[in-house]
Amino acid sequence: MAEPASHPYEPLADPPKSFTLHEALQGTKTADGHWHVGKLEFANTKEYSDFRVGQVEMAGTKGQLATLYALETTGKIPGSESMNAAPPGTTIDGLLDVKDKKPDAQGFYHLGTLRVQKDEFSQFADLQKNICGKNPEALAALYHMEHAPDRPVTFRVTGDNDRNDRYEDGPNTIHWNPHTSARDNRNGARVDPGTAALHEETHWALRGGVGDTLSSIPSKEYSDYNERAVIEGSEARMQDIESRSKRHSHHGHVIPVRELDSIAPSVTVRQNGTEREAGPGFQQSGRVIGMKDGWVTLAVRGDGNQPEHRMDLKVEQLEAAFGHDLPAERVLLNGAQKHGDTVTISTTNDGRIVYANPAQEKRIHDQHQPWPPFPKEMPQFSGSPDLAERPIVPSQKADLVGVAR
Amino acid sequence: MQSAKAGDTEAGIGARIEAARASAFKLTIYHLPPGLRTLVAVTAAALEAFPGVAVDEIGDAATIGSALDALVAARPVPENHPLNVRYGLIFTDVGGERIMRAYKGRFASEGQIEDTPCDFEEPSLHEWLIARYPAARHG
Repeated sequence: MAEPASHPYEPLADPPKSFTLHEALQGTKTADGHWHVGKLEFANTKEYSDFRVGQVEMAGTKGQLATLYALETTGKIPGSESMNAAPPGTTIDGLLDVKDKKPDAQGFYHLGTLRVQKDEFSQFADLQKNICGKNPEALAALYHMEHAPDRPVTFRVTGDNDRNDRYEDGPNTIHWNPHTSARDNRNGARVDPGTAALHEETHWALRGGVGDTLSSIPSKEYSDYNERAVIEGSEARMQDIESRSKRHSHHGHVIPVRELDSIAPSVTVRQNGTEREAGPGFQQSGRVIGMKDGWVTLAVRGDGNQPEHRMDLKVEQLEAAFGHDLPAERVLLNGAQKHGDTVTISTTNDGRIVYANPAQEKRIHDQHQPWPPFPKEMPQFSGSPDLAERPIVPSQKADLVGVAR
Repeated sequence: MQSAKAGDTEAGIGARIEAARASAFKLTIYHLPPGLRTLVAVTAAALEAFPGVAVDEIGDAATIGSALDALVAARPVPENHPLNVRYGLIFTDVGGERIMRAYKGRFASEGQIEDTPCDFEEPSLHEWLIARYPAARHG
């Protein structure tokens, strides 16, 4: 007997009868030029206008008003929450057990309502074992794909020339490349293939009226609210599990993993005129007081043995990964927003580099603020070794946080 | 014709459109399927080779002219924001030389002329594309 169908998300509450499309589109403009439609916010009149045009085009779509009502009254994006968990006792081995060992006439194995090409099954199974072993949400996504209430979903493993992973709701198909990573243009955050697969599976989970309505609402850094739900939702939670920086944008590069992995990650520390490799397990927090020629100068609070001091760091992986079109200091400047912000640059035990400005990330996450545009001209300042000998002015001392390990 | 630079003025973009009107012979429209979600936003450079992109080649002057009319009425103004591309309109002359490239995103105001992201002040190009590809209305 077939197992019952599952639903990744709880259905949205019906809005009150008074909540019509006309009501849903009423916005107010604030002095800073932003538009507010309940708790939905648009950065300018053009974005608000795009929202209105999009909703008129979507008029009558099932789930449209419920989605708008949820967005405008709660401020939470439907689909950014965790999917309903798989039932207790669900195992990855059970979900990957192909009951009928013979593929169908098109060469697909069937896992309930999920279809996977026989030739691609081994890579698919390796992916699922990897991500489901780390993240119960990935196990939930796989479970829901195998118990879809509407129509079969296909998971395809693509080749080298098919780089941008995607979900197409027409054929209800996920395309996933096991050899590519995505990079956020703004903060350098890296999304590896496993997280990318969960990203696309979440788009699948968000298919239909709710997902279509989210796609019809602009959110410029994220392209639209569907992408924003996924990037700020399941993807961000997976990035936490992977100890990686989160994306705050849908714009970026797709880069072969082998190119990223072939770059020896390198943080070089320059202090008191001498340079040394930071090595794995390094972590340094400090206030950004300079960036030049790939060197980031931090003002670092002293510990018991060392007074406040300056430290120059060169983060070479970022420069190389971006092919020099987005130098490290620019990435870090946007991570830090401005001179004086506090950042943490660290390397994991396997040598990966993670950097973040936790306060900034939290602010963006809480307020859904877009990243500021790049400054047209990089500010000039001195990052020279002799900075280490200069005293820190009292106004800088107050902000120093973090301790060198 | 040289590619537009980021510093192109509104007038520069208008001149480019007028030049295309004077010499355009063929219009090729690349469009992605509705309901497509991607890991990273699709760039103009990636559009033509994107898997599943549909290609619509138009040779009649009336249709090309109406596309240009819609583009002129849209009044593109240079903008600093990158685009998640859904359509590319490539105007070429009799020799196959590219005269102008215009791109559109999912939303009415989102566009790009050559390499310059634009805001379209009126939804005329959006409406033209929706009329030609009705399935795109929801996606």
